[in-house]
Amino acid sequence: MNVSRTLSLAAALATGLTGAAWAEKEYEGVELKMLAIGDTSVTRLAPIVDEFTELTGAKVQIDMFPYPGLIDKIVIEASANNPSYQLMWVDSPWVGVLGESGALEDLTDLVKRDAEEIHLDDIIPIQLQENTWQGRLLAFPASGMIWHINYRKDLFEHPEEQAAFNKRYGYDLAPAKTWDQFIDIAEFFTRKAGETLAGEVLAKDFYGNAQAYSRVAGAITHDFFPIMRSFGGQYWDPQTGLCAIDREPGLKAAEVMKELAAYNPPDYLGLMWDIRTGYMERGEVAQSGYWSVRTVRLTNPDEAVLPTIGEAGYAPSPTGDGNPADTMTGALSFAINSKASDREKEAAWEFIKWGTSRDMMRRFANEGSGVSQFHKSILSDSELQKKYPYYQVLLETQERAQRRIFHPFYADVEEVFGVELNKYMAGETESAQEALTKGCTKVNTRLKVFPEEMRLRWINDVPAEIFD
Amino acid sequence: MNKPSTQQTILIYIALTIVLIVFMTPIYLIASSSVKPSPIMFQKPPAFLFSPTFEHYKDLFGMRPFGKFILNSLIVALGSTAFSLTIGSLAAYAISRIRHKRMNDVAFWILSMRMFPPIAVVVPYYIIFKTAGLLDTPLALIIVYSTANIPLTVWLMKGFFDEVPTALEEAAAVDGYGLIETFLRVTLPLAAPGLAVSAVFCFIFSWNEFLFALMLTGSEAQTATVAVMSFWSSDAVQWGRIMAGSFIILIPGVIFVLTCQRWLVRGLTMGSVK
Repeated sequence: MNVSRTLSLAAALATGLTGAAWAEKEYEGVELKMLAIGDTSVTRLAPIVDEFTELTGAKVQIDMFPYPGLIDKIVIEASANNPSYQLMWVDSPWVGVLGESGALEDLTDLVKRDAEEIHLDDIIPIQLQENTWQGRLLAFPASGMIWHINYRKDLFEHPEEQAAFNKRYGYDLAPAKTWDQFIDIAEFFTRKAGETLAGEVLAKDFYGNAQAYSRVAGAITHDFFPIMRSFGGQYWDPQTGLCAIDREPGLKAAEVMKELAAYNPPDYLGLMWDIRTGYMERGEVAQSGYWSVRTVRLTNPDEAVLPTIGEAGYAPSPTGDGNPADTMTGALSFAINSKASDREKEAAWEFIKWGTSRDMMRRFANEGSGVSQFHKSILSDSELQKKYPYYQVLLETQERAQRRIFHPFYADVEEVFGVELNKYMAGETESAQEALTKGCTKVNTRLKVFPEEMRLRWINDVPAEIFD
Repeated sequence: MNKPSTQQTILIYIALTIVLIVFMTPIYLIASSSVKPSPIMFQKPPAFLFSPTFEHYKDLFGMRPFGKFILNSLIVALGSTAFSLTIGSLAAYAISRIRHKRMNDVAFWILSMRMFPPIAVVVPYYIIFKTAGLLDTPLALIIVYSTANIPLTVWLMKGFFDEVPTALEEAAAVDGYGLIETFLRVTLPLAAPGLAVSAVFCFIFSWNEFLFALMLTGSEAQTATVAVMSFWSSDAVQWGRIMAGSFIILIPGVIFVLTCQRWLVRGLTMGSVK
């Protein structure tokens, strides 16, 4: 037995995987290929797929492609018989498009069959619901995201800053519960070079907030929609299935973002996902909201400067009235090509179970991976919570999280509203109402091609049977 | 021509410096970002002085077989260039020499092959190559790129062949050369600048192409452009690695163009103008 094999088996034993119900090399001869991206949910798994081969006999090859264009490649791949790829990496908003095209295998029965093995009751339900389409579970979470707030805890807890904040706003400095408070905090901490922050003279400008306002890849919508949803907004009119983003909650959300713009770095109109989070990772802003997939970096001095200059705090995303409201969630998931053969499908399901298992997720957590956890037992583990204090926030917020947009026209919505919101923030559009109305008009023009019955079916979020 | 005055010389140098800055800034940004530590990648103001790191290059080759992807790009780009030049030159020569009232229509029909939007043919290509067992092979991309490169070559080379006097070919015929020999030994060498120009255009197109490379390849034939972009994931754009890959991608193109430069200047100024 060579060294690598010994190590592989030792690793498998360490994660308790040998306890799984695989017959010896049951899938010998099966070759699986996965169409994926270079996401942490994949990159951590790719180097250890030989462990799966050791256990089951099935060979797995993971091909990584760019995020832009991947959904088109999946659709094309799923259009051919005898497909090249049996496994697919799926971003949860794609389930609408892929569900309608019949590209993905329904996993509902497999999940029900193996509920005990996959610890179904330990998985946060919304992470499964994220992957459902019309009552069918089309993908299985490999990284379960939640939208939340990161902030400079060291600044929030600084006595001088606390006193100054209270004096100015009349209430205590603490992570914002409402968007009004969020704006106050952003305003309070926005300071010019030469001013004092937490007793130190600033060498360069400091910003109260960092959010994505870029239209590229609809980045601004990722920040806009959580705010809209927190005001009780919906994407679609339940009577017509048409765009409802231009209503009161949407307008409030746009106004919040417009007001926050003044407290963002000057390049805010071009800020995308990780460029924005970079500001927090360098400790150059007081607070910032983002998906939980990058939060782990705030705990690692090798990936972010913040751990060396201050301490990060984590909080749920604010809401319109301060009362708990639904937070945005998302899932990066694995799926099976519906055109794969039955044997390939079975092997692919085994791989999904192995790669997303609770033991594997715990292993990733111990390694410090950016995979965002979705098992209750992991997020509530006291040892892990000490290492990753944000786990507690993820656990609490997911209790009442609401899924992201899952409509077949989700890409159109991101694209159209990405442009219209960005134009409003840049001052090219006069009012929020005008921007959102324009966006809805464009989306509706495309939607009205389809009968109302179909549009209503698309917005009907039927729970999969696994939730019974 | 009068020698420029000192003031004119200064102005010329200032203008050249501005142009140089405009064109070299992206190259500088790519090069500097490829060795800039991630935490200060987007620091404001930009960090011009920093301790360079080669981590991005290490990750580029450590996390993916980037050397293989570069090799794939070279095979595809050189293969398509060679194939397009061979077929395109022969076709252009025929169009240039055959006197027929419909020949212009034929030439236009060939050019029209380059006009349809690539996205419209992605799925048909996918199905064809899937059926033929050529999916995820360099040959598939060579064929696809050649369908775009051959029309370009035909039109570029036709102009160059038109410039070569037929009297030279007639003289060669008198000396006993056949049609092929005349083409290879007389006409083609005289149109060498055209070949260089066509080669550069074909190579650059094939080297940079993204859409077909994304849709028609997997891990076996993936090209460098797709591999670099694969560092754009759902949660982050890993700019350091993308910049490192982009810098490496620049190198073969520059070498190729420099190699062809000898013929390029002459080629760009003749052929298309009568």
